[in-house]
Amino acid sequence: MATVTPTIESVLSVLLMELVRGELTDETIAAVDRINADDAPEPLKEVIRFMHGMTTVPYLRYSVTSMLIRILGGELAEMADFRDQNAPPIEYPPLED
Amino acid sequence: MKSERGQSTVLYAIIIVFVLGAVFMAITTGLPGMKAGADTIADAVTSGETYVMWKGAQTLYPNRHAIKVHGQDAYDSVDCYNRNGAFYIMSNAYGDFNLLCRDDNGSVRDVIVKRRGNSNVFDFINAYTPKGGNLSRIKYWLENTWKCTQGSMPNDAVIVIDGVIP
Repeated sequence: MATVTPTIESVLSVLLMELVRGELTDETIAAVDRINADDAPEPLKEVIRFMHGMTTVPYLRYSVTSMLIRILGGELAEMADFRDQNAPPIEYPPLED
Repeated sequence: MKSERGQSTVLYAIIIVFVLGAVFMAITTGLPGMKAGADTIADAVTSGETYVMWKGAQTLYPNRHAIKVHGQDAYDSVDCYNRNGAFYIMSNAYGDFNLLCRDDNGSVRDVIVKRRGNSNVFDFINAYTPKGGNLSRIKYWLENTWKCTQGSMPNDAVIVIDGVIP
């Protein structure tokens, strides 16, 4: 995976914050437009690909934001599944009385 | 005399067979959609699923933002729909409809529209190639993430792009 540069990291941080708040701004969309999806961490690649093609008309902003939240949630759930399926064995400490 | 007549009959029969063969080849090679159609049917038969071809009356084009950012994927996806229609439609309870199109190279592309309430009007949301264009990955993604199931579009659907009816 490509290294996440500080610029990409800062743009994606703002994107994540806006998505969890449910308020996606034109400025963040424009900033994401300049990012190559392949340079982003895996769970965000599909979010970025979707953003690059999505409509930006104001009356659909709420709907497309919901779609992005749904995509992000799905990608994170997939990541969690992958981690669980490839988890190292847990080395439990001895139980204390 | 008799054997000469027999020979000419055989010759005529051979010529007729060749002519019929040539006509058949001309017809089949003149229909490029025949192979694609056969492939779609074969896919449906082998996967045990029912694929429904749907294509509205409108010719679509990508939305302004898609053209500005990564036009080619959007153009390819819309072009795929315009040429081949949707072979599979998946929708959810929120009015999100995914019109899946299979391109000539086998890649599956997605034209996403959102229904306005219960009307026949749909807003164009996106057109791109999710999940690397892999059908099984796209279906899994739409079922689990988008909560989609197999859907259908009304025959009189009107698709609005950036607020305009094309």
